[in-house]
Amino acid sequence: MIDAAAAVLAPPAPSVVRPRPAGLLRGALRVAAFDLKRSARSFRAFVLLLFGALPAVLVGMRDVLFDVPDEEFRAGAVFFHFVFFMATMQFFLLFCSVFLGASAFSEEVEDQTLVYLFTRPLRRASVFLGKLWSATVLGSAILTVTTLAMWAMRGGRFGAGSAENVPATAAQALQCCGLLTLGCAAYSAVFAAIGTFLKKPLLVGILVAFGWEVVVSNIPGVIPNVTVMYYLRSIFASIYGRADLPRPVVQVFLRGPNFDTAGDAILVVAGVAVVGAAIGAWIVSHREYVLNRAE
Amino acid sequence: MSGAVVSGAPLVEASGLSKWYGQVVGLNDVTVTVGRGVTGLLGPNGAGKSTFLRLVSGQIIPSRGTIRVLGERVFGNARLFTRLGVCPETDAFYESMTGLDFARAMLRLAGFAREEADRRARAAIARVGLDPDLKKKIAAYSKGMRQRLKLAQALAPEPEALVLDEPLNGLDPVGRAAMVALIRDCGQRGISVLVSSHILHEVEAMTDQILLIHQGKLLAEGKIREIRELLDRHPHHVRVACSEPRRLASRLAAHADVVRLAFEADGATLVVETTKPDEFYSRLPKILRQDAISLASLESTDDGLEAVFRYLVSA
Repeated sequence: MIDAAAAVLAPPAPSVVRPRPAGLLRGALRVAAFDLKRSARSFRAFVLLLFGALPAVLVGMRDVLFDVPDEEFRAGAVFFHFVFFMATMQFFLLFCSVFLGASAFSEEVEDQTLVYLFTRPLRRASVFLGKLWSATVLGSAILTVTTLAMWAMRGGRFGAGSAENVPATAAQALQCCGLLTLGCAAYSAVFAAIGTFLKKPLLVGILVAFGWEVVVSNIPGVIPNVTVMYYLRSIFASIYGRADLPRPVVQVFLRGPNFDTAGDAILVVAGVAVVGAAIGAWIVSHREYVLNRAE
Repeated sequence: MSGAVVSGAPLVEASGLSKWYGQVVGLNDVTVTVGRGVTGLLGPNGAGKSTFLRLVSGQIIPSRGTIRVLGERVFGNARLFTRLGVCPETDAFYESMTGLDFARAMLRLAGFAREEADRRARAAIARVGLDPDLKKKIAAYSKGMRQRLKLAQALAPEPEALVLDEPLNGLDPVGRAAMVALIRDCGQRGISVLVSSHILHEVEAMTDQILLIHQGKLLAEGKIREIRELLDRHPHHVRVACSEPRRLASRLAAHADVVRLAFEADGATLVVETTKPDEFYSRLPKILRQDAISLASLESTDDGLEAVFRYLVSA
């Protein structure tokens, strides 16, 4: 019989210097660095980048594709606002966040690679946060690159009117990138949290993104206040000011008379990001994942 | 027991440990203390070995009972994994990485500095014999190479103990021998190993300490020779399809360990019952060669272990 008493007396394993287990944030940074290195070179990132380049192409080919009077789109910069609002913010931000966020954690479960992360000296919450940060950084990077490309195609080079307007439009474009980063963080956190307990988070994420966020945010009245998009529009409105926005945008999407101030809207969106991340981290810390029940 | 690190604590202490997956019982009321050294966890497929090892490695939560590994609680305990290496059963990897990148990344996640992680990853990969392929993409690895890489990532941090879930699955005979030698070497270096397998001969080559598990229950724990004695009392069944089954039967009948011979309805298949399977398997090729009998198939209808399990269950 295996003798437990003798086992206790067995010589200890040779002394080896081993790193201490990482704290929550340090562990999350390690996971994020590991994951980002892989995901930045993934096919998914490449496809998202290509897809995100479409609005830039659209902006660049404005004169070829659209027969619009100059008084409507007074300058390329205004056309940039329009495409940014309609395509990047209303669609590509959601698209990017749902694909990267929903799969951030769930792909480790689906691919059964989670076992390698859970058997490192890392907190389970760190694994979730690291994956989420990686998805957010990648999503934000893709959104930023495509937005700046879009600005360079039209808003900066042709649309600023004169050379002295370039810094101002560039600053606005950078603020737009900040808005996208904030939105990406919030949406990714929500979709990644969904991915901690659902088997098909992508499907639910698409429903939330394009059902809830897009449809509900366009219902007249106060109902849009329960969507993240409402607050992102508030930030957008404060970046440009109502007067500078193209009329179709104002008429169709910014009709709400009581947009929040940029500060309040930023707080709400950041709050959604933090709460989503906290809920996901808590679920991962307490839930077991049966990766492959062979028995 | 407190959460403090207990030096020299047994590898596993489980008390009343059960795990259910919905209505399915994975493990049923297991109480066991696994000491240091190499221990084989033996049982047929579906016995509950992987469930037990997943509980040991903190991947799942017990439905009932308690478990401590190296004196520490398991689920969600990051500190335990500075001392415990895990080689999972699942054949999953980050396929686009190279073997070296994977082993290095696992070490970086464990907190090793870049240079140290690189040094350890290369050493672990060399130790499992994968060094010629360390820069190949994992997607291009054979099953055997993948098994060795899983072991390399578990070994690289030089843990105090290893949990290996079916590490010999998918390996060719040469790979199996190398893996067995490696596991034995780990034991000799003072690393405690809990290794699962459903093949008695494999476990026997690694250790003489075993746990027998069947239908979620711990049937026996002890020295392998005790199991061997049980095996000798329970004949091993082998089906041999060959060109001349009657001649083969007459040759085999001369040996005392062959207790029964029967022909199947097709007339070409001989069913042999032997009390000494090792001797039978070493004798058979010689007879076939001497009598120029061509072998169509050789199949163990009952690998002996099943017979022992049936015996233990009925007892």
